[in-house]
Amino acid sequence: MKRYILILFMVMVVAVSGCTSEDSGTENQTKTFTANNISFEYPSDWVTANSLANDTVAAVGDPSSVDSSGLAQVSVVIQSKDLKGNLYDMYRANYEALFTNSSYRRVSETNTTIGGYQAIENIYTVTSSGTQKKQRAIWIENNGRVYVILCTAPADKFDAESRNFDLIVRTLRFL
Amino acid sequence: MISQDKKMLLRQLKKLEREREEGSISEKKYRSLREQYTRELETLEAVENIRRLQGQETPEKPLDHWVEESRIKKDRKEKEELIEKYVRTDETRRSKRPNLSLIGAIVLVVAFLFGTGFGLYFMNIQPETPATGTVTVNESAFPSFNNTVKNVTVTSNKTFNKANTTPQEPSTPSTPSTPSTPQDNQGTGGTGGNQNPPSSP
Repeated sequence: MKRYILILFMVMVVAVSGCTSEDSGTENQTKTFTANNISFEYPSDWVTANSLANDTVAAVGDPSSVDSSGLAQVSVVIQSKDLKGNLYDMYRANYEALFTNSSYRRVSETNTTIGGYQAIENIYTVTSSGTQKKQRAIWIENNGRVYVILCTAPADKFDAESRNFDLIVRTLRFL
Repeated sequence: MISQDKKMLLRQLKKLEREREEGSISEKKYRSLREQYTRELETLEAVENIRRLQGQETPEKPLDHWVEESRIKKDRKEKEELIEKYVRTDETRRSKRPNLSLIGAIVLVVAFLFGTGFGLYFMNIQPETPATGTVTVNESAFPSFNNTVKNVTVTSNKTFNKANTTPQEPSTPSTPSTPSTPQDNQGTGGTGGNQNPPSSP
């Protein structure tokens, strides 16, 4: 009896070991963006994007999320501006103005560390044309400039895209 | 055995010849011994010839030897048959038992393949092809919308003059106008109006 239990246990261990993880499968497939003194990795099924926003230094998006207007709904845009004053003042001024608009709603605000840099993270929602988007903005200061990594996705898909956003944020390097 | 006897006889014959040359043996004894050795030698050679003709190289064993050997062989055969029939040794047990290690290995391989297939089925893997081309995004951390608050003008039909501090003098009411004399087509009023005489027929 003891022997059969051992054999059953071994069979289960081997069967479970055969179940490969989806996480490891997709994380390994990435592409690298290198331009404008920054570098990061992004999912292999994403593409580089043309950003209509000013001060953009990098933009990537998920082509499968392009809507009828031709804009990608899932994207990461990195913008950069000259540092005026300090990072916190610029951050505060930006969001004091931003949240006066009723379509913007603050979700959370935290201090964090990204690749050894002190950073401020602001998560908020934007309602536009009846659809709600969720955005995660990470503010980093480097070499006299402020970099903002803006991760955007429809509110109901934001959590599912967090892994892709984390990949980009985690691998961001200043060259 | 025969060859050894033959050699020994030949040696004795040579020795006899030598003793005769040396003169250490009498002629009579020499002849007697020589005749004896020669006879024995002839006998041995005759036996050797007979055996050679019979095809027996080796000396023949006694019949008892062969009987005993046959009996031993028969006993051994019977013993082996009984052992094989009734006694299960480790070897026979091992040969009849299924090979558990082989079955175990097959089961593990099948389990691994099953697990892999199960995982792949639920992952619904599609071939990953690197995406190409570009898309357009319109997101900004510094949106350029107009932050000024709209001025809303509220208009009302009522005007409030309370802000004016000087009270106005109440206006003098105008004298009521005298009522006009009612016009009566039936006749002039006046006292004794009913005094008009009826018209004559």
